[in-house]
Amino acid sequence: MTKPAPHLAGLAAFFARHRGTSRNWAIQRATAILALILGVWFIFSVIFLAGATHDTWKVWAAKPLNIVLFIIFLGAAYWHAAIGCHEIVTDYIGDSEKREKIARASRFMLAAFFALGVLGMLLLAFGN
Amino acid sequence: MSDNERQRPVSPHLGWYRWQLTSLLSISHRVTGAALILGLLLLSLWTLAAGLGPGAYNFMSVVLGSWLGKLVLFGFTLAFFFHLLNGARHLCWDLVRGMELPQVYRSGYLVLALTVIFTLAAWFLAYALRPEIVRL
Repeated sequence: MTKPAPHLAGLAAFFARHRGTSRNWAIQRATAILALILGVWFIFSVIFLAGATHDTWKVWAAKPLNIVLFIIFLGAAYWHAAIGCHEIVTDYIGDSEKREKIARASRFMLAAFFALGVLGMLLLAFGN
Repeated sequence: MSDNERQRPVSPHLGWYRWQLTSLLSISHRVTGAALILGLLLLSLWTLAAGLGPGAYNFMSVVLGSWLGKLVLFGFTLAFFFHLLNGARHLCWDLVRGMELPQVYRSGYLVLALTVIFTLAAWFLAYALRPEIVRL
């Protein structure tokens, strides 16, 4: 077996250290870094294209790099949001059954909206 | 499960603390995070509208381009930059950097100042660089 690149090994070790209850803590950090970097990319895209026509956005969305970066950005942001929701619910709702029910519902809703965003991006990129 | 096991202790509520920059930024991180979830839902809807075609896209543009829409978007821009910058501050703390109290205050004021500067700069640039003149 080939050895993974050093930074990938570091990332694997990071997640190996955070099993169980601190897993969410680790994912929260990883998605934060992704959303931070891609968030800067995304805000620049919006700055350049704010108020643009639909055709202009289509040109933007047709570039493979933009599709990939947008989906990664959206995924990281939604995953980060789901962990944040769970954290808030955990802090303010004492009833553990009720709390998990709310957290599950919020995860489901966020996953659905993530799917809608991805669908929109793909339609914009490949639709006519 | 007994009633005692089900009722777990909750976080102390905000009323317990005296207001200071540290606690203010801490709760602001949570509030902006929650607000940005709504922003994320709006982003999904906007993307979906764009994907559905010019009709839905133009409708979305009219709604978001109204003064109320712009006000909401301006608020989301503030929340976005605050959460991003303060999040970077948290990541620094995770690496055990800047944890002395004077540093915590300094980075706190820096986050507030940069939030305002970045938000105004983003809106200024968006208006200055009209999309028609930007070559893709």
